[in-house]
Amino acid sequence: MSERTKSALTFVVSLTAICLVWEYASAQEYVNPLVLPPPSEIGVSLWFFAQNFLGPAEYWRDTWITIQEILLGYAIGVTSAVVLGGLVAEFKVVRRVVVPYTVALNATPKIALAPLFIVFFGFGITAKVVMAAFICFFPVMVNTVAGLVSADDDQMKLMTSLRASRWQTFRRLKMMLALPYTFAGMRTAMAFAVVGAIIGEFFGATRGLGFRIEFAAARLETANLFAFLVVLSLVAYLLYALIEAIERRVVFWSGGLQSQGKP
Amino acid sequence: MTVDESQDKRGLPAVQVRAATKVYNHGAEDEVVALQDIDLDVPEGEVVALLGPSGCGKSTLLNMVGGLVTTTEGEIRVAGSLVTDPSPAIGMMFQRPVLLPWLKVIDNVLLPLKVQGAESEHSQDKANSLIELVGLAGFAERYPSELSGGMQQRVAICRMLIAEPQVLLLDEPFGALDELTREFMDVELRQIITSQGRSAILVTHSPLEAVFMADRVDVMTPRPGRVAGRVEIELGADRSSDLFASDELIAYVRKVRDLIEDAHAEEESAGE
Repeated sequence: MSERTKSALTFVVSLTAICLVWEYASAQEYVNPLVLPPPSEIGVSLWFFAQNFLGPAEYWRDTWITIQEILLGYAIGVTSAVVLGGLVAEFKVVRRVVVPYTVALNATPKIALAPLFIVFFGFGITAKVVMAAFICFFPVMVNTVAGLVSADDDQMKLMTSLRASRWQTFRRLKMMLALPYTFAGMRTAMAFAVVGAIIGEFFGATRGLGFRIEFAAARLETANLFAFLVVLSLVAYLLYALIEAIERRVVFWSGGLQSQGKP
Repeated sequence: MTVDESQDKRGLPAVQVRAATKVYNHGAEDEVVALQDIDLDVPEGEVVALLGPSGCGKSTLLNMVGGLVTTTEGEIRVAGSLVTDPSPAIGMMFQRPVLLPWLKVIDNVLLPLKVQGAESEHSQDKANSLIELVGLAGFAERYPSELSGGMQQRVAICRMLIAEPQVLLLDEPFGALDELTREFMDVELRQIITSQGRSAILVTHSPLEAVFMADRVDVMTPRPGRVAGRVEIELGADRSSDLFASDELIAYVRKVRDLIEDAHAEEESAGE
């Protein structure tokens, strides 16, 4: 049996065990089923969702809206972080202007700005996209800068001895050195983008998975709440796996770096 | 370049260093004289080894010839032209291979041509024949991480040679390799330099490597860095690995060692 199958099997067994204990505790009313519904009930909710997902029901649209918020915010956040990171690393003037603000903003818990974005952009999708982009920005920017300045003396000496121009050195050396760092940031940013979109929805939305979760909680439909959580986790997991797969293809020469930056 | 100029330069040494001085933090209190009044000629087609302990400024001198470090006083000419910036007449090799891990072996070799926009239809063939020359046939499409340290240094040799530089600057090129591999690489590199008619400066702290590789060994001493003595090595142009155990080579190594010891003793007594 391969290591992979063993891990998968262990997971199935442990999940089953947890569900059984949980189900039993719920049936015996050790916990209030209103607070913690049994897994079977969550399963029923999920089954109901699954049936309605492709039908005319709203759930697919809610999921799709949240995915849109995440991906749009991610794209905007990552792109601006890479561009600004490049400018910060290459130009001292930009560095002097930008770095104090990024340090201050990175120290701020960024979800605290969600209400402000609602004030700025209203209850539509924009506020959520901006929240996701904003929270994505920092890990990518910080990592990109760290990567761009990571060239060692020998590498710089090589490029100088080859009479490489500044742009050549940037494109052929620094940018390539930065890629594994940027991807480490992008992995973290993917998880952050989900947080950003959901937080945005919590502070005022009429659609989306975050809205559904809050709605279910307000009506004490805890089984539904858990079902939405499962869907949300699945979405987040798939998006993360997608970025990881792209990372493995693009920066095949690097073992995968750890990221810096706070949510 | 006019015809007259090129005729003027014929017969000149490949590298000419005249009264070169390097002072770090010039004029400041913590001024350090790294090199003082260095005169050095590398005749066309010859290899000169700079031998000395760490801190004697031999790498600084090499970087000055390579145009990577500015000269405080004096002048340096490569192929007749005054060195101010890195010159296309120069190829460099460092202690580490410094290959780019995202490029295949062949693309690492082609890097100098790509950077200078000098790639032509023959470049690929040229790179492949160099790769073959250093015994890496069949590895052109591999990535550096799939190669051993010695193989990576061979790729670095190809990268140094691809733009056909006249003068090779070798900064302890095999210093990071084990001794057996290093001797093997020394033999190959010396043969390539001789067969392609290049000139070279080799920086090393191994007397054995210096004597084997070079046509002349310049022994350097630190504080301030200067040339303490020279030994002409008359072992012929073609050198094979048999030479390592030969009496002639051992005799030269002894001579070089004596020079180092004399210089050291002189420095000790001067310090008292």
